[in-house]
Amino acid sequence: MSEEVTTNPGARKIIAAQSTDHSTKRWIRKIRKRLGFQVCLVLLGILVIAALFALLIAPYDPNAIDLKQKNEDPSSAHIWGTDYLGRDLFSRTLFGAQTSLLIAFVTVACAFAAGTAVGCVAAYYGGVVDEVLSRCVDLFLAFPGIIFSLALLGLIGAGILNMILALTVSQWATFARFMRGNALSIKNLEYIQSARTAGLPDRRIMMRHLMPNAIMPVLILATLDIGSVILATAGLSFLGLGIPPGIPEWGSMIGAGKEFLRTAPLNVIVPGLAITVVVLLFNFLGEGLRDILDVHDEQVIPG
Amino acid sequence: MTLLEVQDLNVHFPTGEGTVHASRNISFRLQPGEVLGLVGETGSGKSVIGQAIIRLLPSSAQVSGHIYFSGQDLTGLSESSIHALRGCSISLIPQNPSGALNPVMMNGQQIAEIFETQGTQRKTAVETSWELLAAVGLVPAERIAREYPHQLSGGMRQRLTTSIAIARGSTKLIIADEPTKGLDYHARETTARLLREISTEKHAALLLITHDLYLAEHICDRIAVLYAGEIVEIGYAEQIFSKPIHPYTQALMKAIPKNGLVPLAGQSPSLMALPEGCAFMDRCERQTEKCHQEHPLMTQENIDGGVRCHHPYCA
Repeated sequence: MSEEVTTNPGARKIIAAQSTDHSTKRWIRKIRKRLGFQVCLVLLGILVIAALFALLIAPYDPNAIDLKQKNEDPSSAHIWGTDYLGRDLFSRTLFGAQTSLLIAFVTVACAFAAGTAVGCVAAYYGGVVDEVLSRCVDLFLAFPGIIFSLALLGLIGAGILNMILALTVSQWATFARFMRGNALSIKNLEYIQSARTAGLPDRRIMMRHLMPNAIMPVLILATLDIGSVILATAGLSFLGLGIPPGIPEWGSMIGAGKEFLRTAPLNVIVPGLAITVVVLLFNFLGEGLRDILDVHDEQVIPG
Repeated sequence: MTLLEVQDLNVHFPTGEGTVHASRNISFRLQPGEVLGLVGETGSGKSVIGQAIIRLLPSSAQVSGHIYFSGQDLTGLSESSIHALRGCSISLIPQNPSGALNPVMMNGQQIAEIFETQGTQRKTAVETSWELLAAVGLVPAERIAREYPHQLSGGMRQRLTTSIAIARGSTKLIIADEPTKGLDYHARETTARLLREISTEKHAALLLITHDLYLAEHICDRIAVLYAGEIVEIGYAEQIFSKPIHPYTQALMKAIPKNGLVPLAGQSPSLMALPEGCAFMDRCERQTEKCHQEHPLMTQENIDGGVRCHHPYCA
């Protein structure tokens, strides 16, 4: 569609009309082709809505103890049965979803924001700035994430906010390193150079030119990371470090229920399945997004 | 008053295998409103000169010499002072318009952001960007402003990068790096006309870096011919095209299709292993013993013209 060929003005109009919102339409078309991705989106949608409105949906108070009905099998009154203290497992799982998703979303958002900012600044300025920031990232990556969080939680104590803090600290460096790599590959492209040539300030170049072009793969990493943060949350709570008692959480449900594994396996199976299904759904979402956003198939995404 | 004076500019790139002498002993002057063409083959060090002026060379480059812009020596300036000149007093039209545009930013926004960073209201900035698009012939401007660079043709992208470069309107020197690269005949002609218009209208000097002799002939006042990193001949465009003095310029003219399309045999020397004498001697029909021993110097007969040859064709 070159202006040389188009002699009548109408022809250009048609071409322009066809190509408007070209990319949005292409995405929709790509999503339509993937049934699995659609199912995944719908299920996650239901999950998020259910977690948000847990207070309205849950048939029982998740902490209401009823020792007369402990370790009951599923029935019309308790569709997923009750736990060792007679609490409704469905209600507890639902509220557990709230806790897990809240922690996962906030943690990933914080780690994503901090990581991309650090990675972007390191890549853009290079030199000493890059050296200092990158060594900092290396330092954080040198510890296994879960041990880092464990140590930190041991130090600052349990709680949802502390949990988010501990997980963010163990996650952000992955984002920073990945963002730095992406930004470095783009930094020397001509349009960043021309933005400099046009005399734009550094901050503007980073925010409007470097970030938007480097962020897509990091966004996909973030989606995949939601699953691992849910797992980490459950793991830490299982060890009794993360969430204080009183707040339903899948990991602590398993931790407390493991003693009844033989007599009342539902105590473990229900939250266990919840973790598995949700983590799988987020992983499918991340992989589906990767295909749809057309980041090269051969590209290896760490995490 | 001279707008730009380049004195004895040398650019070297140290590499693992040796030093690449990209530009050597480059000296020229540019008056306000003048169009000077830097003409040469690929690898003759043309683009390096443009990038050295605006200081966009990679940090590995070793630069010596002086660059005076409006009487101020740019080589001594700090990075922030030179950054203040970029896009403001000195504009660069980038070599590859397709690569020089942000693929995820709308065309209009790429112009408008220049004003936004100067504190202009968003609405005014957008409207100014439409005017600028229309000024370079990108119409209907409002629609094109909402499209993305990949929806434009090569010629249109060229015009967009041009309008970005001149957006601030305060530019005194435009450096156009191969503006017609990869464009077809028609687009080349429109680009040539556009560049000439801009330089006349804004009374801005234009440093045109190109291997497109057609373009150079049509819009340049003066032309400097580069060979292996050196200026071998500099003079008025008509003189260069009608009566070239340097054997290389002669050969270049003979290679133009309308002059017979006679290619020049051989290759230019490697910029890592330049001969002691004249760089062109191996391909020159007039070479003598002197050419092998002595590096020819630029004649300084007058300030606007000169040749670097022991045996130039008589003017």
